[in-house]
Amino acid sequence: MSGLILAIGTFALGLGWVIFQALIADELSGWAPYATRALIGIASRRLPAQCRDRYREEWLAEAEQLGDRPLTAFGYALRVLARAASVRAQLPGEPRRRWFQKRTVEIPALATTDLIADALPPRRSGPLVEWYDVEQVMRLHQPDETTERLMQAQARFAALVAPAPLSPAFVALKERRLRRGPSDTASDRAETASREYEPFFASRPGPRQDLPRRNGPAGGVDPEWTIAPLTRAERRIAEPYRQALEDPANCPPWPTAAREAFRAALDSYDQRRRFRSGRRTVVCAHAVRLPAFLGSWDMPSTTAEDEAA
Amino acid sequence: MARMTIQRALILRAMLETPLEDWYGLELAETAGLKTGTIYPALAALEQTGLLTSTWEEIDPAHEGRPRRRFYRLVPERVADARSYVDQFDVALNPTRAPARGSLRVLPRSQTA
Repeated sequence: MSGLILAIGTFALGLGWVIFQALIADELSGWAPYATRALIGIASRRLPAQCRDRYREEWLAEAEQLGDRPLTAFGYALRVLARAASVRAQLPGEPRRRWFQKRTVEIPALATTDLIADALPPRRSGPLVEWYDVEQVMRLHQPDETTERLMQAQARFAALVAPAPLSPAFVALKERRLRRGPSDTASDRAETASREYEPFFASRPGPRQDLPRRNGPAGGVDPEWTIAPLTRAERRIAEPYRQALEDPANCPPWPTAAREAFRAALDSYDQRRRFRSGRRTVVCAHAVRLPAFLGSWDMPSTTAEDEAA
Repeated sequence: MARMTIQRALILRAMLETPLEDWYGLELAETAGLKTGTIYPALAALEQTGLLTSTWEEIDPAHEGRPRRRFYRLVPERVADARSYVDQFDVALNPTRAPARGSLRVLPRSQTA
């Protein structure tokens, strides 16, 4: 009796395994064509921009030829992806750059920023993380400066950015973004719109009151967190500093009021972490560039009130 | 002349069998005994050196129901260079040693000329 039960159990298990395998095979076969196209798309994006469309079409055509064997076509796409870097090395265009080269041949401020920001992980959650890290990064360069003076320098830098047509740091970020090639994404559309608007913004003196209207109710911060709205957000945040410096009557007492204003600005900077995906913050990019401005900064480092404190 | 590699020599050798024929990647990989992934860097290199040229298949993809292929062909004026390239490669290999790749066959000089 037990032998009969064992035989029936074995048969049932075997039957279940066969059905399971058939289902899995069907599932994989169903997904393979999509995965194949995706892999070929990734492989083609690793090539110079002028060659991408050609190789993508060529590889898709050859994968299509294996269409009756979807898993074979998937394997083909994997091999193509694995060799995409070798193809790139043979083609004219941008020289192949390794990770560390990418980091070091960019504008030095940005490259340094990334490395330093990576080396300084956030110690606390919330907006003050940036504040804390900025101060630490700045102290790497200016260990003898007081916190207040570093804060002033940060504010001074923001003031300098505002009237500039484009911050070099953001130009570099934009170019780096665009080098990935054209694609029909919200990011690229925002970038294109931003470039179209830049001459208009540059030609308008004084506060750029059009920015919030032109960039949505968020006041210049686009929910897509792209470079383009980031640049506009940069200007929006810097605008009060620029106005304060242009009109001495509005200049807040330093550094006590500046501290509060600057903390508020840093709260806004906190949003940028999402764009820079984690610890690499634009705030740090500014901080690294700040020491260059310290020498020319002539505001008093403390007020009488602070001296008394 | 481009740097000699096994892949490039095998591709040229396969194409030299019918110098005026158009080849597409998978077909060429199968004939030359190469893996599909490795053939594209070699084709790109040979194309950059001017030994090969490539053109799109002249079909209407919508009518045919498939994407057009990319065809590779030896540049007629460079066929002699290609032969020289393959010959140099054969000479460079030591025939007494085992081939570096299983698919590589070192042909006698009489067959490569």
